[in-house]
Amino acid sequence: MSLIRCLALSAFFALLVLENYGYGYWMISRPVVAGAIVGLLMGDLRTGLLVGGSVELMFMGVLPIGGSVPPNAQIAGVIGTAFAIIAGGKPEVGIALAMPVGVLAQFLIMLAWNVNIYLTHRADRYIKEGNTKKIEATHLSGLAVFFVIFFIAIFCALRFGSPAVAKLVASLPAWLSGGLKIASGILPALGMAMLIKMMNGKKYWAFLLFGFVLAESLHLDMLSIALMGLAIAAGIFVLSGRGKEENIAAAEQPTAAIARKPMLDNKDLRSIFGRSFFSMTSINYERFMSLGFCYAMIPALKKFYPDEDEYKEALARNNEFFNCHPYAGNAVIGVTLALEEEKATSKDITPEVISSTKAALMGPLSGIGDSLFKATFMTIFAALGAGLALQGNAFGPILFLVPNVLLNVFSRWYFIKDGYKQGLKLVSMFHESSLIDRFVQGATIVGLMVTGALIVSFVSVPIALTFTSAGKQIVVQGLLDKIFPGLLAALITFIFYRILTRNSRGGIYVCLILSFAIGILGKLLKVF
Amino acid sequence: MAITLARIDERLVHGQVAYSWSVAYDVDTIIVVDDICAKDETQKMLIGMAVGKEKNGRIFTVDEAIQYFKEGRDSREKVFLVAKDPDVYLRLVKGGVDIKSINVGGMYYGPGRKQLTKSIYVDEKQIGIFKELQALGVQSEIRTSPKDKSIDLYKLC
Repeated sequence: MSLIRCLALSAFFALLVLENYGYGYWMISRPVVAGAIVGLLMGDLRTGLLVGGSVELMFMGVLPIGGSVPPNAQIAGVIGTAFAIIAGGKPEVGIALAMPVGVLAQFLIMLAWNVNIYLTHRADRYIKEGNTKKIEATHLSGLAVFFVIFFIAIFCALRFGSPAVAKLVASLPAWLSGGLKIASGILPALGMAMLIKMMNGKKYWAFLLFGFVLAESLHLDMLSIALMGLAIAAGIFVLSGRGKEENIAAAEQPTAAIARKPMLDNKDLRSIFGRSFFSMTSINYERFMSLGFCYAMIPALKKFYPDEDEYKEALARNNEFFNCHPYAGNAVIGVTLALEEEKATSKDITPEVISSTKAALMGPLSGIGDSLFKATFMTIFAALGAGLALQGNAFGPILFLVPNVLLNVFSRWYFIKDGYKQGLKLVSMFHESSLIDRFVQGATIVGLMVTGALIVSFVSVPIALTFTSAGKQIVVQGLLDKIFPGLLAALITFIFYRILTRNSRGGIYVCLILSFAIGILGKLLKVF
Repeated sequence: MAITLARIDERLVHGQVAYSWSVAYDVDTIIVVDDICAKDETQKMLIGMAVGKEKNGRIFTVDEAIQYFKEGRDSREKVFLVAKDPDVYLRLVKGGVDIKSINVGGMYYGPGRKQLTKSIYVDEKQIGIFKELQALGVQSEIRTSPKDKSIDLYKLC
């Protein structure tokens, strides 16, 4: 690869990966999509689809939740695919390298989050001066921080990593490359185990089992199982909610009577909505998305507080610690808009109410965002998309991307709009009803049923063992297929799940090493 | 009952308090001591939600807080106190609550206030209260987030 081409590719890949924190959270850098894009650019779409699909599966439950920085799926997918193509179209090489790359990439994110602390402090200074332009520029320079870090890392990987990978692959003995292939079939079990852990599989295991059996014994496809899950979840939702709903409706009556003439029109809301796509641009370890929140609020604060001192105070108030799922976080923006407006017009809202409202909403809304959007919605379409991609079908990434983009746009808009309209009422609605819990429960039911089905379709442990008994040759895999074909896949997933729950920090690495060890040792001992 | 952390923060329970601090110090209960908020149903609801399900959230007036600590002296609960003003702590200490150190986190700019550090501002009356607390043997450290360096407030007054 020429230097110019390497530079250009690195810049493009860095821009692609940047979307995850820098702009929008569009999911275009998730492995199943990024793999295809990298493949297309490097002239090997098929390898891109295969690597992207597999890496998507193994990173399925590896989700950034509650401000944690897990191994990075985005960079893993991009670099893994690039390596696989450079190695001459060997998907198993990319798949095997993806997780170690993702683990290393994790430190890049941490580095950026630390650098961004400086941005927050600089913004504090500009907030004191009331210098809106500089506050905005400081926040957006997070784009440069992430980009530079990604660009340097990706460039180094492509420039210095690829010759090493190519050399390594050329001298790879058959048992090792075969072992890697087996490991790449086992690795998705790690993704599934992470999902089960995340969705409290210990409590809701019945739904996991149900999904598994539907796929294993009835051979139902993923979409049907997801829809059945939805039906069950919706049924439980309706039956369990009886009575509570009526109480809320009754309680809401008096407050609904107070009409409020909104100061923000649709144009203002659209501008805030547009800014909300940059909510994580300056994310950092000290105050997470605080500055992103402030950045989104600026058009409204300007309108609410013509007095400069009040404006500065409001800016400072809105640059407090904030951490929430990026889509669901828009509901907090919406509610805060309503509260700031009330404070500006009637002054009977104290700053502490605004601060504690934010803190009160962050947790429950992240709960919805993480379980409903990340763990369930994204997982279902990732599974469908990755399934197609693994067959070499370029429609797979599109099937994954379109619903996620729609979700991103519509949920962000309605969260802001309804949050603004409802104001504090939204908070008391969350508080008095168990609405959020029930939503999370529903998402968990669908998610676990789909996960059960995923184990059947994507975890593969092909045993090649045969032995002779009474003069007859017995093929172990054939025997297993007759009794229970998915047994080994289920077993490995369960073992990984146990490792992850016992050792919540290092478990993921233990599982990772175990996958490779099983693959390579198994190949050496001719089990596979 | 041990007071793990006693913080002054004019915004009471905001994200930094509900997340960073309560995680870093692994407390069981967050108690807000504020005479006005303790009578405000909305604040009660919000603080309850902000604290989350795993921890207890309570809002007391100063008198209620003194009573609470008198009654529950033997329990093993680890408590995180939050109040807006040093005056609250002076009243608590005088009421017999055992507070050894105060974390000064959020005292914001306002008219008539003197700047102590980049983000901490106090007025004359508050400085007087801090001096009284110092005389009673209570330490005061300025620290906004758990990872920040601790600064002795008395050296700056």
